[in-house]
Amino acid sequence: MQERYDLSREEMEALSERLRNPSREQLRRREEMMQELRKKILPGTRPDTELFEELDLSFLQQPFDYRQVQMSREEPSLHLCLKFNGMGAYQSDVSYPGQDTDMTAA
Amino acid sequence: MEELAFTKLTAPPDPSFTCGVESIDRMIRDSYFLCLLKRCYTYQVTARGIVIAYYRIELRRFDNSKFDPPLEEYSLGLYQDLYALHIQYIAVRKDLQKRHIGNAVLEHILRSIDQIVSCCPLRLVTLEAFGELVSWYQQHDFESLGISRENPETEFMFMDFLSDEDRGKLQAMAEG
Repeated sequence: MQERYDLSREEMEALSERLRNPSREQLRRREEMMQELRKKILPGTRPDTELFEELDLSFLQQPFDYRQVQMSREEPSLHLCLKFNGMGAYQSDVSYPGQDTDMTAA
Repeated sequence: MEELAFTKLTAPPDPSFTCGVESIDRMIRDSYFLCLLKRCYTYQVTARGIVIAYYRIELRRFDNSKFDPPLEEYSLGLYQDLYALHIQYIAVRKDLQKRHIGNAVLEHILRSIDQIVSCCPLRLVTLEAFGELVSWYQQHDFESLGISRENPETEFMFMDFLSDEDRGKLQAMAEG
């Protein structure tokens, strides 16, 4: 199903006349413009992307991306250790470096 | 240099997006449903992972049977059933306007249409331009047919994708 135009009779007659007798200059100008646009195309890194020389949007803030988070190699401040307690449930042992606590949370 | 991604909507559009024109924002919000029905295709334009624009294209039909008395046959020629590819809107995010994004999107659309026209029997591309954008579209070789009857705040504009070579052949056939 397509949308329909609601042109007046005069508009439709004018458009039909332009289609029957197109302006040669207009067609040539349009073809030249399209040739320029085809020349300008710069494929991007993916099939659905294009590069645009005249654009600079470097000020845009990237949304937060978890994949770019660097894992720290430092000693964690909290140790969690999961243990199977033999009764169908896990236990987690929580301890802090340098502390010799015996806190256990089920 | 900037890389833009043009992807057909596969999920509802960004609800926080606004181009500053309420009627177009409403069309964007409704567009996903219409995309699923294939009534139109809405494309999302992203840069650096951020949605910066939307545009929508659809097929439109000229209803030439509605005129009473009927249009004279000579004025219709071979276009009793006339279709056009209609650019419903190009909507750039309000806070990013005046940064040549519209130019880039329109260039991409025209390149896409150029490919469509090479493999589908389609000659006309149309749009309705708000007053301040008429000259911008004219710079891209759209012609105006005057104030739109459907949306009086806009002008009805079109681009004819007939090639000059084919125009010459048609003229030769008409004369021969």
